[in-house]
Parts: sequence; C-alpha cells; structure tokens
Amino acid sequence: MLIDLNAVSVAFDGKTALDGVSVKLDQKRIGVIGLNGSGKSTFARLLNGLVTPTSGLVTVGGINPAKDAKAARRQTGFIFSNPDVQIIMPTVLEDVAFSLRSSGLSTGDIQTRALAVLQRFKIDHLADQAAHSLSGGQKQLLAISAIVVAEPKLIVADEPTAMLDLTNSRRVAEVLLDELEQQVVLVTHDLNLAANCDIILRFAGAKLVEFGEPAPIISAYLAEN
Amino acid sequence: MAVSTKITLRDLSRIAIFAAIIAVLGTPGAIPLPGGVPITLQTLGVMLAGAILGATRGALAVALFELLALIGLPILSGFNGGIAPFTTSPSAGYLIAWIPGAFVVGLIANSAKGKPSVIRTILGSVLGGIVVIYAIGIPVCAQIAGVSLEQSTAWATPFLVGDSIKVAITAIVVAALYRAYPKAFKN
Amino acid sequence: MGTLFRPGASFLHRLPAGAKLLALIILVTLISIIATNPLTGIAVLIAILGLFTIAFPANGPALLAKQLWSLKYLLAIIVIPQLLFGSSWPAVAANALRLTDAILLASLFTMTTKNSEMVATIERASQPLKPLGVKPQTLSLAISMAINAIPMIAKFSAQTKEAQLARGVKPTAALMTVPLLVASLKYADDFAEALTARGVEI
Ligand SMILES: Nc1ncnc2c1ncn2[C@@H]1O[C@H](COP(=O)(O)OP(=O)(O)OP(=O)(O)O)[C@@H](O)[C@H]1O
Ligand SMILES: [Mg+2]
Repeated sequence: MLIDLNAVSVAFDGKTALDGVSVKLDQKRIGVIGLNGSGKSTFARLLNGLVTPTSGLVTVGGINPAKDAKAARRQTGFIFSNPDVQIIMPTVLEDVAFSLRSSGLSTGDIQTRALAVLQRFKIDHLADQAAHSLSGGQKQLLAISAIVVAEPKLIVADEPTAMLDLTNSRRVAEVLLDELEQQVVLVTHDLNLAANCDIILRFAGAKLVEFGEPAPIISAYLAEN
Repeated sequence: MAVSTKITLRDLSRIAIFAAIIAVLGTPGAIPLPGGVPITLQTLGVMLAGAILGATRGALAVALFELLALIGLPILSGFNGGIAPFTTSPSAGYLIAWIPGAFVVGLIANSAKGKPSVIRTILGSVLGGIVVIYAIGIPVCAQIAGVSLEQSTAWATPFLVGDSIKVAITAIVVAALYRAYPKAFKN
Repeated sequence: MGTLFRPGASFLHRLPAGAKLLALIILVTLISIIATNPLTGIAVLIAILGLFTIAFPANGPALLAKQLWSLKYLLAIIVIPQLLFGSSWPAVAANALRLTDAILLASLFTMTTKNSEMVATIERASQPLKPLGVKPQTLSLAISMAINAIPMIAKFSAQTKEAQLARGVKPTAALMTVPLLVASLKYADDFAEALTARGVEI
C-alpha cells in the first residue's frame, strides 16, 4: 500500500511537531527512528487519523485519514507502547473478539477467528485468563492479536517493545518484522530492530532528515548524537 | 454551562476510569458507624468526580460505579455490593443521592472553563457532596429503618466531621491537580 | 477481583434475573406490610432460611448466618437507641426483623445472579432510553472498561504509596490523591486514543 505524505506539517497549540514532511513509501517493513520529541509518534498517528495535518496532505492506500478516519482505521491497525491501555475487555479471548463486534459475523465465527489468531501467536492457552493478569509481553501479543484479527492492511507500531524485557521484545519484534504478512511501520529506539527494516526514516527536530537503506542512516545517526 | 450532551470516547474513558477510582478509594478500612453508614473515602471520590469531570460526566461516573456494585461487585465500603445496599439497606438513600450530589458539585465547582476556583470548589462540594446527599439520605434512612427523622438526623451528624475534611481535601486536590495536569480540566 | 455471586444449580440460579427481580420487589413489599409483629418476622426469616437452603443445599444455613453476622452493627444501631428511648420490645424487634428479612432476600438475589446476567438485564432495561442517546452497547462497553480499570487504578495507588514512602513522605489522602489522579487521567486519555485507533464508535 502506498503511504504518501505531501508537504505535511503538524502543530500543537502553535508548537511545530512535524515540519514539511514529504515522502512516498511502499516498502513492507518501514522503520522510524529519531530522538525524543523529534516527531516520530506524530508521523505514526497521522497514518490512521489520530492526528490530522495542520497543512499538507496524507494518503494511505488512497484514503485520506483526516477525511475518512473510519476507513483509515479499518485498513490501519495501531499498537502502542503501553499494552495496558489497549485492553478493553476483561478476558483475553473477549478482547480479541471485541475487535470483530461490528463485523457482522456470528458469535460462533467471531470466537473461532479470535481463537485462531491466539493460536497463531501461541497465546491460546491464555484465552480465558483475565487480560490484566498477563505479563507485559503477553499483553503486547494480545494487543497484536486484537489488531490482526480485524485483518488490517497496514500495522503501525509506536515503540511496541519499549516496556518489554529482552525475550519479550524479541518475540514481539519477531512477530512484527518476520511473521506478519501485512505492511508494518515500526517506530523504535532499538537500532537493532530498525536495522532489520527494508527502509528507515530518521526524524530530527520535527523534520524528516533522511530516509533509505538502514545501515548508512543508522551510522549517521550514531555519529551525530 | 458544564452540561454537555454528546459523549465522546474520551468522556467515556474518563467516566469509566473515575468509576474505578471511586471503587479503589473504597478499599481501605471501612469503619461502620451509626446508621450502618460506613465511613470511606468514596464520598471524596463523588466530590472529585463532579469537580474534575463536571456535572454530567461526574454524575455518570458515580452512576457507573454504582451500577458495578449493583451487578454484584463487592466495591462498596466493607466489600459490599449487590442490590441490598441500594434498596433495603437504611443507607440506600445516601448511595443513590451520590449521583445528583456529584452533578451539583460539578454544576457549581466546574462551571467555569479553565482554572478551577477554590471558593467554587468548596461551595460545590458542600452543597452537592453534603447538603444534597444528606437531604436525600436522612429521610430515606428514617423511612427504611422505621425511625423518626430526628433519630435519622442524629445518626448522620457524626459523619459531618469526615465529610467536612473531604471538602477540604477536594479543594486542595483540585488546585494541585490543575497545576500538575491542567489537561484534566480541558474538555 | 471477586464477585458476590455464588455458583449453584438451584432453580433460583436458573430463574431469569428480570423475573427474580420482580419477585424480590413483590416479596419485600409484602414483608413490609405483613411483618408488623416479631412472630411474622421470624416466620419470614425461617422461610428465607428455606430459600437459602434450596439455593445452596451444601451450606445454605451457614451462608445465611454469615450474612446475618455482617448486619450486626446495623442491627445494634437500630435496636439500642429505640429501646433506650422507650419503644416497646415487640415493636423494635418487628422493625429489626423486617429490615433483616428484606436485606437477606436482596442478598440472596445477588448471590444467585451472575454479573453477566445482571448486565444483560440492565441492557434490556436501558432499551427505552435509546431515543435519549443511551446505547445499550455503550453501556456494556462502559461496564467492561470500568471493571478492567479497577486493577489498574489499584496498581497506580500502590505505586504512588510506595513512591511516597521511598521518598520518606507519609502518604496521606490528600498527598496520594493528586498523583493517583494524574496517572489515572493520563491512562484514561491514552486509553481513549487506543479505543479510537481500534475504530470503536459509541
Ligand atoms: N498531543 C500533543 N499536544 C501537544 N504537543 C504534542 C502532542 N503530541 C506531541 N506533541 C509535541 O510534538 C513534538 C513531537 O512529539 P512526538 O510525540 O511526535 O515525538 P517522538 O519522536 O514520538 O518522541 P518520543 O521518542 O519521546 O516518543 C514534541 O515536542 C511533543 O511535545
Ligand atoms: Mg513517541
């Protein structure tokens, strides 16, 4: 799917968070790096209409998220750093099933699909557990399941491993970068993860300063900071 | 006016989280006192809900909290819940009065946009958090317990001490919260 | 977190919540009319003991005793002043029994009704409010969200307490409430954003 930003700027209360960003992306694994406050999350949120541009135009797969947020959210799933805020229903299976509640499927079909996704990410043994009793890594896999079950075309993950330990980070990264068939935008401070993407975007001071092959961009980033 | 009709996802989220805050405020030691109406910080939660969320959302947060108790979660003071506290218990009137109580707190304390005023917060908490609640709670208690209004009022009187302290805490907390997280008061 | 529901297979458990609620209202009203002397009050209490035993064949009487014990302060407070101020024994006893009977029945209702059934009943009962913009679906979403949030807020509260103790501050209600509210309201706003991202509509 083509992600197309044309001269996009975003300001919050007069403060610039993103400044004149233009880029066209259709790679399968898109990494986003940059210092704190450089504009990464703002970029990510533009893609499903959580943030709307102050000027310029965003289209994702031909949809303008600022105009048609509903369609944008159907085609783009979003994963946050804090898995706690993503859980809506009391138990694991219910939470995944919740994503399909307005899909028009029968209750039985919804259960079957939800369970299949849990199996896919190997957390089906937790189906009936209280979602809040899960470990951070399990919660993040639950969040991914709840997104994947709705079959989006693009998944945007904003520092999904920031609150996880080494093994859980690895597992979540493996799912996002190796296992998902969808296009993925991964915002991360973990340069090892970024290195595995097809392309990376580097933000600094609200500007997209460079994008392209991971290796040289990461070297430049390390040299500069 | 602080009364808005359209509920957004952000409103819904705040209402649900505040209902949970009121539940958590009820967990530490419940001390049963006259009239069987136990002292907890839950009425602090009622005052804060009105003062921070405003009239409508504050009242809805209290109502949602009570709905959770009604369906059987043991979140009222003393790990109580179910329908008895709202129907057959002498303190039923107090509990139900929390809803209009929070509304009145919000109407007075939260009616001006922006920086909350200490005077309004105190006035709102006294009128909504004490006057409204006692005005409904006392007669209902007399009715259910089958005693005189005087007796019912006498049972309620000791709670005035705790409730006055809660008014003071509400005023302090609201002022401090505005400095710590002004977004809390934005719609 | 627990619930006051106690599983069982009795007909009281199987009765639809709506019908049970109606029966409860009728019974409580009846009790307030007929239980005007201690004897009828005791008769009703025995009938309620029967209901507890039907609902919980294994430990009905013990459960009733537990409920009674939890009413001890309430009863003491109602009975003692009335006696001190010279009401007659039978009148005071009848009044206390009437109250006890009503509360026990209401507790029995809660103990035999699943939370989810109560939620479904409330949803049905809220149908007439639809024109006012109250969607039953939104109501059950709000209930789920709040139930979910309780352990989160409890965690924030424990963390706040620990942080204050670690800094050598004695955590008081006023001191604890501000950080608790900040953490909770931020959580609420992040949560709303995640809901929006998931395409939830109300
Ligand atoms: N909702 C908002 N309201 C006001 N300012 C905001 C908002 N969101 C972001 N900003 C500001 O915009 C700038 C860019 O923020 P953004 O969250 O995009 O950075 P980031 O690169 O994701 O940083 P981090 O690595 O810390 O997550 C920051 O200065 C931030 O304070
Ligand atoms: Mg960010």
